Amino acid sequence: MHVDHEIPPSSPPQPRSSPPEPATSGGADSRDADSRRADSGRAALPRPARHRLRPRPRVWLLFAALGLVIVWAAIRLGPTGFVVAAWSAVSLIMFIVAALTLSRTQFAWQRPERVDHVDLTDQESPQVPISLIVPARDEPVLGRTLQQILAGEYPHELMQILVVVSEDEIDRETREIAQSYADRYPCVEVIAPRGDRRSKPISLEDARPYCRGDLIGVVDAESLIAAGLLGHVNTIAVRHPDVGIIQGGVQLMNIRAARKPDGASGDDPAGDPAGDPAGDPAGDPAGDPAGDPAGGSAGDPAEPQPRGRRGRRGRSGRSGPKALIARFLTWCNEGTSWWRVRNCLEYYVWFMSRLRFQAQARLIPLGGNTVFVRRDVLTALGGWDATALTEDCDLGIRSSARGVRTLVFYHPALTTREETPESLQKLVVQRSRWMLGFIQVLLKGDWRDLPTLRQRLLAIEMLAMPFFQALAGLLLPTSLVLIFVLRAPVVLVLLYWLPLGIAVMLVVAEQAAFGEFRRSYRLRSTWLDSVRLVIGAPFYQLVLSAAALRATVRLLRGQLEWEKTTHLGAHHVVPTPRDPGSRDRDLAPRGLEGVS
Amino acid sequence: MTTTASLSDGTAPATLVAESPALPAQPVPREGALAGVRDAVGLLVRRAAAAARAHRTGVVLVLALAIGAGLLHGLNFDGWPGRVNEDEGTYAAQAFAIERWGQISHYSYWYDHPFGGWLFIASYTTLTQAFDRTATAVTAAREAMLWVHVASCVLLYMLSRRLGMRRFFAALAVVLFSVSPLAIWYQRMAFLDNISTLWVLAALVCVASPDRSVGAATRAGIFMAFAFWSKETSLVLLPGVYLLLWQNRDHRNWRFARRNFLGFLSGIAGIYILYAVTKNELFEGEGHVSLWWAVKWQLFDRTPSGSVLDPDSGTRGIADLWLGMDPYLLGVGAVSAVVLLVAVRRFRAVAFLLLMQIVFMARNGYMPYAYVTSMLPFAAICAAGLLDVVAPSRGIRPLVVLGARNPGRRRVVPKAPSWLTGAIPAQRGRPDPSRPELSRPELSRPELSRPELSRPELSRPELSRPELGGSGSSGSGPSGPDSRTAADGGGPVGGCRRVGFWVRAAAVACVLALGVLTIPPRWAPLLHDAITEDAGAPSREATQWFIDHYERGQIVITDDNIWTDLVVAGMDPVPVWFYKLDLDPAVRRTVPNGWSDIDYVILGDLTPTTLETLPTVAEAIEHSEVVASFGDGEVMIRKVIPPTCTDQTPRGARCTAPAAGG
Repeated sequence: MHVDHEIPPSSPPQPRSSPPEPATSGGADSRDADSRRADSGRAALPRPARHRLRPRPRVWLLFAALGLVIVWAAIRLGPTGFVVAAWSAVSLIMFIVAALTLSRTQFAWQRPERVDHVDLTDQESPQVPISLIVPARDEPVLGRTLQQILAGEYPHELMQILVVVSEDEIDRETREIAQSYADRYPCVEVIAPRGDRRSKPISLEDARPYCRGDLIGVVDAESLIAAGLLGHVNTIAVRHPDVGIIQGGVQLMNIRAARKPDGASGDDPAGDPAGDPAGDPAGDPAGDPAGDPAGGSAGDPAEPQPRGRRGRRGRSGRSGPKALIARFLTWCNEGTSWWRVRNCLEYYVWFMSRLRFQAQARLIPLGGNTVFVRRDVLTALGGWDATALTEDCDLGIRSSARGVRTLVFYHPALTTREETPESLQKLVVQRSRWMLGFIQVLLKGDWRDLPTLRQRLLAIEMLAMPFFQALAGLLLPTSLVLIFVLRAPVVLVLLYWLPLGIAVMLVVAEQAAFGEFRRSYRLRSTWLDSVRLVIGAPFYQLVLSAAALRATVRLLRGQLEWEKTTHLGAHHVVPTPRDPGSRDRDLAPRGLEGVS
Repeated sequence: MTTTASLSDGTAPATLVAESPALPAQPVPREGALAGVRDAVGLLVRRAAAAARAHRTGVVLVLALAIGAGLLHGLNFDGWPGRVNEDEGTYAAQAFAIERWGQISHYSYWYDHPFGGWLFIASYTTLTQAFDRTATAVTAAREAMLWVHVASCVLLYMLSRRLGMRRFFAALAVVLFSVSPLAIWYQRMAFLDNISTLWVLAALVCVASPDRSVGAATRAGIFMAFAFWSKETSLVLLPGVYLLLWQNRDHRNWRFARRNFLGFLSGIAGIYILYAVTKNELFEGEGHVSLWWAVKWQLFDRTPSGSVLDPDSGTRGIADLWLGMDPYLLGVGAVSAVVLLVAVRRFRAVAFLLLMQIVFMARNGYMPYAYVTSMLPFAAICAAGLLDVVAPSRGIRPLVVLGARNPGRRRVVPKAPSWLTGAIPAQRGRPDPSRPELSRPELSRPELSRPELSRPELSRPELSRPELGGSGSSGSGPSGPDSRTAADGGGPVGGCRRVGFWVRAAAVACVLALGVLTIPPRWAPLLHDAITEDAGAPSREATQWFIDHYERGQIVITDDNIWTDLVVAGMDPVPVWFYKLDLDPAVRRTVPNGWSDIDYVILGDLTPTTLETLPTVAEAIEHSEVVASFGDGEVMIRKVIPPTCTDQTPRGARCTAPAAGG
């Protein structure tokens, strides 16, 4: 899964003529030079080498044929028949997608011997130098994270910890924390590139040239890595020289609400992956610049997720029933935590089962955290894509296309622990960013270079999941309407119910997964949590559908104003006036150019 | 690919080393879509071939058994048994309605049974065009039963093997199951029970899968749901199937397995209710049939046939009929089942399935004619299974069946080492260094994606040959719990030394010899009939006679065995199934003048109780004369003579016709 940073577009290539100042330095003098070089490297940061985007007329042929079929069917069947037929096709597709999801959810438990795949007793002695990149942006919890890494069982002399903070006012506190660790521990180095637009992939790219270890790992600034993690990664690296990428597990842990009264923004020690509680503009149309033409209006595409409006109403000091409603909505957003257990379980299933399936299928969207890449592999792949919203997924697809093997392991004692987003709204924002990232990767088209047909189909299935999720929210109400309005034949009615049946089976399977999750972590939970899990399922699906719809709508509008979407992390950015027109050209992801 | 990294600094010499085993030398060539499909097909073929090679002996044996069973059941399958039960015709007619009319039933469907059974028959007849090919519609349905039986034989063999039986005894079970005259009698007839038993066997095979995968449990649930869809009474067998699933569980994925089993079972079976809901026929209401009423009728309102313990009851009569045909299979099976239920773990579920059905007969409920069908496979397994348990083996047989290799949760030592804090439960249970698979993480390696290779061999009972067993007493496996299996599951292992090889051998030989001496004389006459007698002739000839003699526009009352044939022959208007004349209001409307509108009645002798419920039919028969009789009165064609023709001007033309004809 992807990580904390709100990702603004990569900065425009501003020629940086002024001599780069070493922002901070680690213990050694050489690090001064490092930082300097980092800065210069940053200035000339090239686009990572990507696979060419082949124009594929055949794809358009396919779409044309599909359109012809639709037109033919519309003429042939008449309006009613066409709607029934089209919805049958949609139901069938959704049924297949849901069934595949069900099987992937249970991949790890499909065979008994597949369940326990990590043997902690049998480990190699530490021998692989590992570089850890810790991109930090306004993270007061950085100290805790570094402490946790340093207190691990892996010897310091085989470790290199690269903290990337930026050289600006926002990061001052974080930078000071990092510096204090760098002063005390020789293995900690600080890289403080300049540049007013920071994002996680840019930070990673900044740090990459300084990595000396054979393995380059990514650790988020707010996550707690396990003591034995690096040791096990070392073991895998030694025993499986043919594995290029090692992905560990990440686990959200708070299945109930976190009790912390302070609503201060970044100081959240829980480490909110969304990172920015103070009113993310993307999730809050009210916070959008006034120039947004559709923002906040009734036709706002963000309409399916009314959280933005809730926030506004909550702020307005009206009295009467409206205020009550507003309070209720605010409570729904911040006061409830029914979705947390589901979010935790999602992580468990994703890292325990789904990613392992994807690794076996040799098509993997990597997680953005606790992922270890061999340096030569990363070099050959050209590093991270600084323009990607989900650089981890992008790297995973490119590595799969290149034929690099990935190994995924999950063990409760080795997972990196995080916490759920602060509020429901933040969850939606986070989700729609990931979904947009997936769509971005889909449109970028690197997956077309995957060697086998199966991999390409799997890539479509995975990367187009936002669309399916958006559809899932529409499926049930539309099916109901069609059943009662159109009086479809019985067979079709049953067909409409099929995806729902699989969805029910998914809930059943989730109960089993929740049982395993509880046992694995010895969580104290009651039957109430299970009930919450079951009852929350349709609502959570609605939330996901809302996020997916939001991402889809943003995508559609993004062809006009993509830039707005990428404003996601705007509050991190020190605003500097510049010509928006030139930025637009630069920011448009290349994949989009090829498609639009 | 030039990047900043390669330019950055010379401090890391390893940067330039491009030859990493983790990095393929050059990008993998892109495979086209067609090549992808071809590869997938090739992979499937290779897997099938590999599986066939791994079980070569078994495949040959099963093939031989299947051919033998197919021949025995296929020779003269239309002639014996005769048309003794009208249900055959009903199912054939309903399958015909699905195939030709696109309806679930030839009359309005009233939730008598879920329609999966005749949907199955209909798919067979559609695929093979059986209704056009065969002499009668019932023949077409019986043809489907032949294949159902062959498939059941294969599944029975697989199930026996998965229960740890040796090939010889597994084959013996199939022979008993296939050769018994009782089995031939019922399995040749087009009954839904045969289809549902097939699905139950398939579910049991999946449930006993050595993989113990979630997928196997899912398939088992789906097959049990199919069994329900074929005949709803098969749900009675669910506890036994679940027991076997439970016995064969692996606690590492048991949560998932049981939920998938029950989930898919109830989900697919629930479609039946959903179907009723979407047709608004779930609850009783004015002017439509309902599922609720049908269930109520089946469970409570239907006339019970009495308990088997009551010598005068209908149930007893049916049981006597069964035992008259073959007392051995059921008798020996039941006795063996009692022993196996108590003593042998691996056969407990199957023995339970058999005994449960026998006990069910003692209740005072409705006893279907074909009730015995679902007892036969379990009786066969129990009979052969007991022999398998008693029979000695040369070495120690490592009996690794039914999840016995896995310790139950209670056996888990709770004192987990420190490294296991927070470990996955299974690891707490059993750190077993002898199984390297445990420590192998999920690799994205193509060969590992093939399940055969990542599967521990020991968990496959097929591979555990008797000859391979060690001589030590713990030869059944590396870990302690297996000795438990050996003790209660495999009598041979623990008891072989004590009781003695030769005593066991002598006992089995005696039983086999006794069987060979006593059974064939009893079975032979019936088997001879089964292959030679043509008891279906009267019905067939009556159909043919009538097709030759009827005139267009005549209304005919028939039983269902003949109904479909007359429809296939193109009768217009469509003949009337005699039950529906009185019970279906829609049919009543087609004969406004009651019995006098009817021209012909083609029926055998009906019992007085049946006639009481069918007054119109009774009247028609009363006012008729027999114009042709077949099979010594088994099927009679009667012409109805209207009482008087004088008053009815519009029907004058019709009443002269019988006068002229008579």
